[in-house]
Amino acid sequence: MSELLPKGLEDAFLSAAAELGMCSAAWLFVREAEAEGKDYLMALRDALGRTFPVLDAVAGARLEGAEVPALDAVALDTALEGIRRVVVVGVEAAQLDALVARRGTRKLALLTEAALATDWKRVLANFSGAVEAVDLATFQGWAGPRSALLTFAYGVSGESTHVAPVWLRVAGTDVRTQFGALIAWDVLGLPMFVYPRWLVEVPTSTFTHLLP
Amino acid sequence: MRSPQVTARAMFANVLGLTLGRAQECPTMANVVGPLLHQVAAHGQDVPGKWHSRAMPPRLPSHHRLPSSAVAGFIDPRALGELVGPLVGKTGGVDFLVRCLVGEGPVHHRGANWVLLTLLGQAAKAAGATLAPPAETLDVPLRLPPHLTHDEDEQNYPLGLTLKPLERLANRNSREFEAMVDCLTDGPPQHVVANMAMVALLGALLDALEQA
Repeated sequence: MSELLPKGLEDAFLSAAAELGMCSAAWLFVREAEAEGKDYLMALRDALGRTFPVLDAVAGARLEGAEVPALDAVALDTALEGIRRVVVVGVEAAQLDALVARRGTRKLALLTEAALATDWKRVLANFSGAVEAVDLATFQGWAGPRSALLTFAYGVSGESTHVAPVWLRVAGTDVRTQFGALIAWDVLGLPMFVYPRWLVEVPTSTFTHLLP
Repeated sequence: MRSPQVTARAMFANVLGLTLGRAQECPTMANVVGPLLHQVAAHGQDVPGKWHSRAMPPRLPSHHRLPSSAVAGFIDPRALGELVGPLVGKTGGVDFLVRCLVGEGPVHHRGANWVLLTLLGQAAKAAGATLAPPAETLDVPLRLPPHLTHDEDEQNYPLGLTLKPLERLANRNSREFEAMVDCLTDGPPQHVVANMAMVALLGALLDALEQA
């Protein structure tokens, strides 16, 4: 770890990623690091990039001048047209905030399963009751032709993308035909440079909609 | 040895071929659908040859062994959506139905669904049938774990089971009628949705033939 960086930064990022999502936490840390200077941002990438490939990609993109990807509200509304209930698989705070803000009468649920040690009560408390909790035993109670499963994807490369491993536990062959839409929301918008640990590769054809 | 399921499918395809052949002179039928129909019908025939030939689906004599990608290469989801769409009406959910029919499950089911439904659509069209939402349908629930089926309004397929055609086979209040409904609505989505679409199309076809 560079002498520029405080101790415990890896644990801090891990905690943030567990409750904000890898991409949302990455942009938060990158902005904070950049405020200390470009050297600090480069040190952050060197220190944590191999462990956290989404952070590596975001830091690399920011060093080349990239901005936080803008939310494509039109694409989101198009994908969710006619959808009354959404079960979100995975956490990305910025996108969850957008979903809540645009939900209207649509009901939202968050699957409380993740590879990281997430404090789900604290995560859900951010949404003031607008998002309900479901788990692997109960999420199919939200199934229906006008229901959607939505997860977050991290970059698209050719015909594949990366998602949280819990997606594979959710979207089995039985479940796929219980939900009207299977949506991936590409929150990273660029390919990862290092091995994408924490995530799994799936074909983009897995989804009925791929949001930019 | 023919399985009952394969024999029934072959007979169904043969009857469809007769119906179509009498209804119209169709070059597309002869050049494109005809060989496919022949192939489906051939499922019920014993194939002489080595053991590995018997283990595989029978093929037309002049054809090479089909790669798996080619098995579904003829499927046109858009055309199927245009066929099924009028049956669903304004309630929506056609994309979901089409995905259940030809986008999920074993590839041979996808192909068979497309062939049989397309032929049925051609037969209905040739007979002058008007495709519209059936007057009376039975809601068919998604195949969910029983303890999670608590929201019946949201957990049915967008297309229900058309009841009128079944009255040609059994009295509405009979045990036989109830059993027919049970057989047609049980099973994985690629079967159930295909059953509902076929019964609706057959109902429209039979009504049109009677009125002609």
